[in-house]
Amino acid sequence: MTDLEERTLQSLCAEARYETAYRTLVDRLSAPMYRLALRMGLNHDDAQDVLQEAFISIWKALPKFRGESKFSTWVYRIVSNEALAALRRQQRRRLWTVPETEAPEAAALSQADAPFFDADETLRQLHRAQSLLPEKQRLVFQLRYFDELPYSEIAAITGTSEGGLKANYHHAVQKIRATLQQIKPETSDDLLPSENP
Amino acid sequence: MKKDGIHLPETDLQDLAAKLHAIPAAHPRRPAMRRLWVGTLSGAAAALALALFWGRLSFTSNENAAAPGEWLEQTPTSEVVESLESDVWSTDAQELGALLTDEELSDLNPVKSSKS
Repeated sequence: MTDLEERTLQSLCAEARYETAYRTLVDRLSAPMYRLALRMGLNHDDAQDVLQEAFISIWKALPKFRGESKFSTWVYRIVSNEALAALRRQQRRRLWTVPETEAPEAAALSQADAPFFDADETLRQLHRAQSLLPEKQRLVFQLRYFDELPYSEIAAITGTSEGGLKANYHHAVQKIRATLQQIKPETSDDLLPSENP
Repeated sequence: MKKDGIHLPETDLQDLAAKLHAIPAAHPRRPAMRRLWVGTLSGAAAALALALFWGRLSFTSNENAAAPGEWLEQTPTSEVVESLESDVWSTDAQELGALLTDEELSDLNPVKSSKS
């Protein structure tokens, strides 16, 4: 969100116009948050559930928002937490239904081959590779690579230090590069030209 | 933002936005006045509970305090005299006067009785 939008939201909350502020957040951020939830490996229904839960929390907590971070960072944090919680629930369910060794591969296939996924083969491989990352590393990779957020903002979203994040992102890129090189050696350099913090 | 290859149909986004816009109606926030009332009443209840607790403590400590005889023995004479001359004493005298009739009061008056 732009600085102007952030300031507008701040003044709306200062005037206790929470419903207008909430509607602005929905209009501005629901699509990117939906996209994030899908990229994290959730299907359409689960992603919608995650967004509903997250925005209920946002609506309830809006009057208590103290402005210590940007509104967008705050929303990202709530949605990310909900998405991670949903993924953990899925994992627990999967433990009872799918043998453990098949689980990551099944998740990767379900994500990259989902009907909403409309990309070329290279991008499809990247999604397959990143869906094999641990959840938190996947989140860091998503926020840095696709959303192009600065480390300072990702640190606020994930509640970790910038140093830890840089290390996490570096490991994520290394793993993805290794996976991509196994599948198609020439693609990894095209997709991941640099991993500099 | 980089291209992520995720295709979001417009109808899906509209459905989602409609669901999210419906949240404030489905989860109404308590009006400000009600919040104020709840806050005030709970504050008053807490203050009352504290006052009762404090009163109970004071009562217990008074019970444990020194008996009147002991107080008299322990208090310096000047303080005892001061307390006897206090307003409380004079109020008691006024109350006593109010219980007597005028005749009874004049009978008690030594000046009048000496005149008569």
